[in-house]
Amino acid sequence: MRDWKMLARALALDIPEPDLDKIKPALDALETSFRPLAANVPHLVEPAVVFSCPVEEAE
Amino acid sequence: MTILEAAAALRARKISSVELTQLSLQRMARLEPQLNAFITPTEDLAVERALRADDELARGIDLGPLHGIPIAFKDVFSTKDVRTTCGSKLFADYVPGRDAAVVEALLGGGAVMMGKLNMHELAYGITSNNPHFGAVRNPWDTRCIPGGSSGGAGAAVAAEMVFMAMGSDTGGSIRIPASFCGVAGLKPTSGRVSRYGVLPLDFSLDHMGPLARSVRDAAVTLNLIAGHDPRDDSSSLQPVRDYLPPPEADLTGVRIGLPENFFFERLDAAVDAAVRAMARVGESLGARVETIRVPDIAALNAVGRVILLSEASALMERHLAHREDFGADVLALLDQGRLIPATDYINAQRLRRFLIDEFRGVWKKVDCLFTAATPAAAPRIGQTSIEFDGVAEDVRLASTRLVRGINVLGAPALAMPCGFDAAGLPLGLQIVGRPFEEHLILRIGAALEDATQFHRRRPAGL
Repeated sequence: MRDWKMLARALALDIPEPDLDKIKPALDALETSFRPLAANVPHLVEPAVVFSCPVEEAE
Repeated sequence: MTILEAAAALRARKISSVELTQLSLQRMARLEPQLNAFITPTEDLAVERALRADDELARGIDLGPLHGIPIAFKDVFSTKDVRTTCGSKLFADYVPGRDAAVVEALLGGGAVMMGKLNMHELAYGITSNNPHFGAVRNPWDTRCIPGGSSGGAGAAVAAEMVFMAMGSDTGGSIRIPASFCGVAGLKPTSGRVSRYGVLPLDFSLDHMGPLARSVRDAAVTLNLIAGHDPRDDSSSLQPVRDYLPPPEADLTGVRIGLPENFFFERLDAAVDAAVRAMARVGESLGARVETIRVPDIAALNAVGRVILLSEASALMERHLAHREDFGADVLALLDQGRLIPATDYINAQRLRRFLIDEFRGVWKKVDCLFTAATPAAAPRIGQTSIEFDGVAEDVRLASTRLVRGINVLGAPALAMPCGFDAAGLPLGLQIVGRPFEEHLILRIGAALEDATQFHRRRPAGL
């Protein structure tokens, strides 16, 4: 499991240690459910996020 | 009385918009001390608009079925010159200079705005136990939560303070309060209703939709708010249609899917029975009910949580230096999102596409899915867990378990009452449809409503 306190320190996040203790179980649970999924996404699948570019007005 | 009934009465001159508005104001005056559904009531604006509606209707100017009807907006919708707090201390004094697209459409259709509704702080939670504006209470039992995040919307509609309230739904925030408050709640397809002018919680999963006293009232509202809006990048070009179901909706030929996996696990027995009973009602109206195996909903939920945690934290990061401005539960979620790496966020968006593709197989076999909207009736205010089969589950995770994944799919979903538990609290059915087939799930919902009349029951104590 990830060391969330070390990660918070590495990212210089100002999250107090007691607050990190509170969120650790939720993050651990998410890690447990999400990690196997992330490891098995087929290689060619692209993200669902679509960035649309506005159509240029004709001169 | 529903919107359609009130609209008919207005046109028959049996009642005026001012009278409807005064009735709403009287109920607000009487019930608000108990329910706390509103953050900013707008009484003067309401009476002024109602007077104008009566004058317009008398002169033959008819703006449609919401003309002269009292409604309200969750406090995420920007309203010109009326403060829009998002249920947050951060926006406590924010007064927008413009209306959200949905507000424009509804007020343009002659609706009478009664005010801005209380909600879970920043729309980030399901209790509506707001630390800055007070807890919203459930009209069916004021010891219970109304659900959230559109909790004020659910409470105001159930208590008949307004005919319809606009809500937003990122992981169930329309359908959960609809279920707990015994009203209809529609989360439309992604891109069907403009998000322009709505204070966002998230970019990928936010949806706007109505909570109303009946399915047909949700449908007439959708008729006004659906459609392309170039101001919203995610707005769809898919053509709109008339969403109002026919007077006697027929379900012949409709294939209802009852999921054999996930959705009927860890349910209160009364909820399980009520949802299956609604499928039988559908069958009696001509539909065919088929059991079906659905793709991995737990995976959809995990993907939804990674996307929401990441996007909400990105959005709010600049405010997080002032931790005292946030309630403890919202702060905990925002802290979690800051610890999710970008690689996980991208992979969640890749998984989202993969799971949407997998779900296409479901829509080849059935036209809709019947599930519970919430696994149990409304929990008590302050309750932290619900027990299913002897195992405790966090209230937030349990309440979002059956609805969150549908936001990841972007599919439309309707929540509506399907019965009551032993304590008399409403239970909610969820009907999930193919993208852009709101008309079908609304037709199914209206047929079930006509047959059961559950929507006519109102909280006894009020």
